[in-house]
Amino acid sequence: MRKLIGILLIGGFAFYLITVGMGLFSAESRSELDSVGSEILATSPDLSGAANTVTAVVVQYRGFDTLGEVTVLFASALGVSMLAMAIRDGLLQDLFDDDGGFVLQAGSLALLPFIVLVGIYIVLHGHLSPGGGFPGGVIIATAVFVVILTSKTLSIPRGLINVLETLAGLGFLAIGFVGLYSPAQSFLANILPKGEFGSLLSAGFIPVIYAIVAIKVASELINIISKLTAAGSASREAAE
Amino acid sequence: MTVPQILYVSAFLLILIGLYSLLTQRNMIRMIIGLNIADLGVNLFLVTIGFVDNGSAPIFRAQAAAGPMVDPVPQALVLTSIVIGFGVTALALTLVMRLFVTHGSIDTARIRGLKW
Amino acid sequence: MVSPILFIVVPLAAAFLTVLVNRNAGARILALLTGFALSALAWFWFRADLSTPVSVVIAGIAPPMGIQLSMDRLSAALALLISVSGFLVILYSQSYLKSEEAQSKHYAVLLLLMAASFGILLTRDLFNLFVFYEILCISSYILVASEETKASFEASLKYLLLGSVGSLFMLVAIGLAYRVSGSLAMSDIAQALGEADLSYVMLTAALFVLGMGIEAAIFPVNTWLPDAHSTAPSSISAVLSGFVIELALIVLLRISMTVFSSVNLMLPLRYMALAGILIGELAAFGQTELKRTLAYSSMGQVGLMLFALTLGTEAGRQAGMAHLVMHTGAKSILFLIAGYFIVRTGKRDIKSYSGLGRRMPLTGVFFVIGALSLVGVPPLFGFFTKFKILSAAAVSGATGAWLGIAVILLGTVLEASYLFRVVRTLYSDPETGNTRAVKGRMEMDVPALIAVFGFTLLVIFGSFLLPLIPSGLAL
Repeated sequence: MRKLIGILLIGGFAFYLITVGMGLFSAESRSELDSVGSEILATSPDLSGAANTVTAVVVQYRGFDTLGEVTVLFASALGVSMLAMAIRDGLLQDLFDDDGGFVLQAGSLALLPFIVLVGIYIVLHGHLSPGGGFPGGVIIATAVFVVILTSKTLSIPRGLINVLETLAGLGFLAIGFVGLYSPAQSFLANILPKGEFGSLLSAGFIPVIYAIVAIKVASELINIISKLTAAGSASREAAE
Repeated sequence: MTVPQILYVSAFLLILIGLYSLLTQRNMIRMIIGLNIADLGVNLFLVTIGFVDNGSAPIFRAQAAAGPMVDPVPQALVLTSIVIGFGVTALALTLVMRLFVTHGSIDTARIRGLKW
Repeated sequence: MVSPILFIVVPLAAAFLTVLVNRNAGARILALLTGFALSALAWFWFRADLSTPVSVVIAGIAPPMGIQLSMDRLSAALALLISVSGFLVILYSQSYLKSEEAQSKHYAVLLLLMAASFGILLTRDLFNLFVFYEILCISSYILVASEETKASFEASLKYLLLGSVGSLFMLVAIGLAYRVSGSLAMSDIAQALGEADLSYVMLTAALFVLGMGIEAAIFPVNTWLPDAHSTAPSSISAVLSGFVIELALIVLLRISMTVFSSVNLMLPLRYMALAGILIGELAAFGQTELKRTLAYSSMGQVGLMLFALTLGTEAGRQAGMAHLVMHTGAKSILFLIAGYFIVRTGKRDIKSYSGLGRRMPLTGVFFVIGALSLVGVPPLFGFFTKFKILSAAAVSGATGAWLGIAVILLGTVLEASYLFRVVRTLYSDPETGNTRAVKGRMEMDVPALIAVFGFTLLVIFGSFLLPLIPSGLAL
């Protein structure tokens, strides 16, 4: 019954989209942009100084969206830690009964600095090549996650991570305010010198914001992971 | 078929598959996976909007690449959309964990408190 | 110059700080101060001359490339409503949230919800709207689940799954709009869609309305509402019923009237509104739990506002806005008091509350005032707003207007009967009821009393505000 209703609903939706969509998407081939993207491509080297235009859009043209995006992650991490706090039922016990054994543990610890290094590289080159604060932050968090997965006990400095999380968030807002009260008089205005186009120290505040975003993303992710796994390890300690 | 047409059709199919599994599955984890598949379809759709024939990535290099660059705006939107999708998924999975602890099941049919 | 951007930045900064404070007392005071600061800010903008809207460009890049915020009279009025009721709810939470462990986080999420509300009100960029809308949704899911009961987890997950599908539709609609207009600024999109193929615009509009309509609780996609609003903590029910659905409704209508102006969305929305009134009020009539009754009543009231706002006349829009303000006051009173009924008796059924009105005299009076205003009894604000809606409908000549009047009158009768049933139980003889005899003081705590008193003032003297309520829905 459930399947039938599902098929009917989805089928009707698909039929509607196909009948409307066929005519519209039939002539889908273009050799040049006719959107605001072409304007951005033309102005971005001068305005932002970033070689990677996607980064320029994310951090400067639509920097306000990125502030919102970071806030979404913040809200989600808050929610996870509020809700996971009370799980004490040995839900994840099986997962954590085994530690990974010596080789895996030593290996993951040895990998940690290298993964973090790759993460930092990706963050700092965000305005030059694909990457930036979000992927870089995730990679840094992955380093910690690998260690959590393999070792039985890992004490994460929660206090430090909370401080980093808050400072990164406030730092983003502070940069915004510097723009607001600078001669540019606009929230999140890029007022730092642009530097030489295509070099590491260029693009004004874009690397700074990406570093802040990376700290924020990494600390939120470590928070989420540690809260979710702590639910399991707390129950294991109770069982022992 | 041109490249964008193939991509539009795939995006459309991904959205349909995701929504179908969201409607028909009773396992809550699978419902969340269905949501993620649909999310993927939407992201593919957004990226395809910025497509240009023979376009290259919108990154300025020392050796200028021949041909036009693709639209950077949809790519930036997709970045945002992926992060939002991640946040929602993490929250949803935590809720499923809590439901599993309180009800001992992740099957929507076994959870009788509210109507689904 | 006080920038409108402070509306978003101040609560965000406070939310970030609240987590660091991590002590309940500190978090409470910080949230209270933020709420007060926002109310003062909103008052400043409400008094300011906004005959031409004040625009702010982010990062010094003008649209279509950048993002623009704009403060007009409608935004200022709604911002005042949101910040004042947010402040009062934070005040109420000071005593209501006593037992909760994660209080500082709770306040942080509430502040994020307020920041997101201001964001969707002010932004003039379609994708930026989506980002703030997502923050609003995620914080609502978290706050519903923060009641930490079985039912609230289920309601929250259900809300989350439905809301996420809505967000997907909205994102597809934004993609379709960008594809034809090449811009994300609302004014550009409005222009481009005006010249686009009609079926294309219709598809875009349908996906957008369906997506955003979920948070606004419009008829076919409002199934999450009764569960979420009735299982959430009562302070949060007051927030969600009090301004979140109203805000989403106004923003949705503003966009459908300006961006999608080439298709006539008003007629289908009007019929959806009438269906919402009927189903909401009928379902509310059949409930035995107080908070569930109130949640279904919100469903009906949203329909009432939507009906007035979609009549297509100036009078209709003004009546709808006035009713929205009234509903924020009245529904907040009822939900906030219902929270204390549950705290004091430990039960959710209406029949367990017999005699409570005598043991909590002040609270009982506030409850009665809120209920009377919701039904629309003469000296109170609710009478004027409902009367204005009916008279606007009668002279509008819109399709379905007379049917609407009949449905509204029927809804009012139902509403009066179930709310009267609650009031009668409150003042019935406690000995005949099956409540255990609770000794000692029953009245609400002082902060909660002050908060409810604030909303009561709005409900009693709101009719003097009528000339100040704007009705324009321009971009």
